[in-house]
Parts: sequence; structure tokens; C-alpha cells
Amino acid sequence: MAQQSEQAESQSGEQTCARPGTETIATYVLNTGRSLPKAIDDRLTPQKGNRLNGRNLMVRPDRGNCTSCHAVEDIRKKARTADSTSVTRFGLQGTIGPALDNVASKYTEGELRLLIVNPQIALPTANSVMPAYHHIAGRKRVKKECEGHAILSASEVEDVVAYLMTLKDEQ
Amino acid sequence: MNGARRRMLAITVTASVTFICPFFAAAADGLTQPATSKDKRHPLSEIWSGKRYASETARALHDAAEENPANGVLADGALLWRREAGDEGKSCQSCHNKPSFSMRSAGTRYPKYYKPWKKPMTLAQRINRCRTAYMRAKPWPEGARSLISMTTYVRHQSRRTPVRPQVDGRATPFFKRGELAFGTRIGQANMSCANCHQAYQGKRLGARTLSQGQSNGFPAYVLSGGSMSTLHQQFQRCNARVGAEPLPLGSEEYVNLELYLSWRGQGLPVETPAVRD
Repeated sequence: MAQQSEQAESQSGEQTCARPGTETIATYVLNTGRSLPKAIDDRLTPQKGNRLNGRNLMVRPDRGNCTSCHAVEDIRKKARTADSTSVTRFGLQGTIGPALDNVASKYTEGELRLLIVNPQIALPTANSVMPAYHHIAGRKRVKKECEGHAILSASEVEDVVAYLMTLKDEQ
Repeated sequence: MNGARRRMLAITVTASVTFICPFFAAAADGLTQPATSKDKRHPLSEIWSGKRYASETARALHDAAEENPANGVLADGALLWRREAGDEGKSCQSCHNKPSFSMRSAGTRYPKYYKPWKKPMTLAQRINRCRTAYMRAKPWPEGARSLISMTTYVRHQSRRTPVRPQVDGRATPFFKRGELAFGTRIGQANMSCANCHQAYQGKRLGARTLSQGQSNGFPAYVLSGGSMSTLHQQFQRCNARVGAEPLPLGSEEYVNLELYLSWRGQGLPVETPAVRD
């Protein structure tokens, strides 16, 4: 049954929630944004993120799971119709959030960083359903294995930011 | 019959049909026509079954009676109905005879407040109550194949009949708890039922389209799991999906939520066993 297979996956040893870096939140400063009220201009980690890993984090259901809500054409075009592996990985994109094509032209890097870390701070009036990816406090009834862990670590957030910064129209 | 009388008869019949037919006109099937609630508090102006948001495959399997993947479960239920169990040497049939008659509205009326327990009771819990109190048989465990089969079989007897929730009177505090639970954000992802099933109904989440989260089709055959699922098992999957700790099947919180959902989906026809993605 689906319920059992989900449990089996998380018990098989493959790190789902308890990954290094997810148990602490990086300290960050909120700056003023350009089109949003706030942003996080400084990187959460000393080194720049890896954009290829960022793309992978976005499609993995047990990491960012971003494409289940957001369409990204740059990812969707990797789905080849006859290949169910690539279709399930890249092709099944959602329509709950806005499409992210050209998002790096719409927002600054700092605004994108804050949108991932805590969209409730980035979009204070939206009552957004988007989860706060780098946040731990104030959660009710968290799955035991995920308690005290953020969905993405600071370096994983930087990876996603690095990938999102490639999504701009070539001018 | 002479001409005048024939005319009178024709007029009477036509008038009767004209006035009576509207009462039997297209009942809301929740698929092509929504159900509606007169209650001003109701959050949905149009109440749609999950069937409306299901894939073509799922709908086709449900529409063709011989193709429903849950048919084996219904057959098991029919056998269990006739099987004697417990110290009284009785079967369901001993007291309830033909299920298509005796159970025809049972599937529309649960959960409902049960005085001896001072709280609501689900259909599955009612079945077990019959086993323990009247058959003096052991109750079936929540999630057991036998209980799912019998619950599916019994609720199936109410198919196409509109859900009529019983959420007032003594059920009120439990209904309110269920309503609160529906809107409470939980889990690592910090999401509530309402976040998806109220705000984003009709939008795509990955491979599937978000429904209103109605319960009229449960227990249902869920294609992605390749098995039957009770409503509480679906709650557990939803909870796991947002990184929340699932609760036990039959727990009070789940029963209260189920009570709220019966009100939220009022007027929808019972579709058990529905086929969902």
C-alpha cells in the first residue's frame, strides 16, 4: 500500500529529513527588496550554490518538490514523451504557484533567496501555501523523523537560488 | 371512457407530471451538476465530487460496473455479510436480511453521534459495534481487509443516494473540532487541508488535480496505491505528504474531521467504491 511504501523509503537509510545542515537555520539579515518589501541579499553559505544540484532539488519530491506546484519550462523540456522516467521526473508540473520562467528577471537574487527561505515573510499579505524551506520554529505535529529539521539546508537553498538565477530571458 | 373524461384524464396526468417531475429532475451528481448547501456558513458555493477532478481512466473504471477494481472487495463483503461469526452464531444477514434494503441509507448518515459513546461513530465503528454487541464476535481491526470489505459493501448499498450529514445537536462540538482541524496548518510543510482543497481546488499538484477533498467516494480504490483506501488511510497519506505525523485510523481527530467532511460534501451521491488517482 502507498502508506507502507512511503514509510519504507524513509526507513531504508536514504536520508530524507535528517540531512546535514537541516537541523540549524543560518543567521541572516533582512534587507529591503526591489519589488518585494524584504530580501536576503547575503548568501547563507560562504560558497556559491551549485545550479545543477539546485535543479535536482527542485524536482525531487523528497526535497524541494518545487515543480509539483510551479511550472519551469527549462525543466519540462527534458521530459521525453515515450520515457516514463523522464516524464515523472520532469514533466508533471503543477499549476498551484506561478510559473518560474524568467523569474530572475522579475526578482533580485536576494528576493528569490527570501522567497525560498520564508515566503510568508517575502509575501506578507498573500497567506501563501508555499512552505518555508529554511525554517523550523512554530510547526505543529511534525513527522517524528523531521522534527527539528528544515526542509532544505542552507547550502541546498543556495543551490536552488543558483539555478533560479539562470531563469532569465537572454537579452 | 368518453371524450370528456379522456380529456380530463389527459389534463390531470399532464399537470401532475409537470408539477411533480421537477422534484425528480437532474439530482446533483457532483460531476456534471454541483450539489449546493442552503447553509450560509458553507465554504463552497458549488459542491463537487472528487470524480470531477479524477482522470479519465479513473472515471471510466468507475462508470463500467464490471471494470471497477474494487469488485473483488465487494464480493468479499457479500460473503462476509452471510458468514456466521461469534458466540451468537449470527451473520449480518440474520438480522438485516437483504442489504440493498436494510442498508440503503446507512452509507449516507455516518459519522453520527452515538449516545453510549458520547461522541460520533463512523460506519466502520458501527459495523464493529454490531459484531461485538449483537453477534458477540471479535471486532475487526482498523485497516484490516475484512473491515474495509464490509464497510465498502455496506456503503455501496447507498450508492447514488445523497449524503445527509448529521452534525447538529450533540454532534456540534465534534463538528466544530473537525472544522477547525480542516483549517489548521500542520507538518514540516505547514499546510492545512484548506490550503489545498479549498484554495487550490482544480489546480494541478504534480500529476494530479486537487479536488475539494470530499468523502462521498470512500472507501475508494486509489490507482496510485494499487489498493483500496479508507478515508482515514487517505488522511494519513495527506498528513505524510506535508511532513506531519499521521494519527491512528479511527482516532477521534480523524472521526471529527470525517464528520466535518460529511457536511462539507452534503448532497453529493455516495459513490463507494469510487475510483480515484
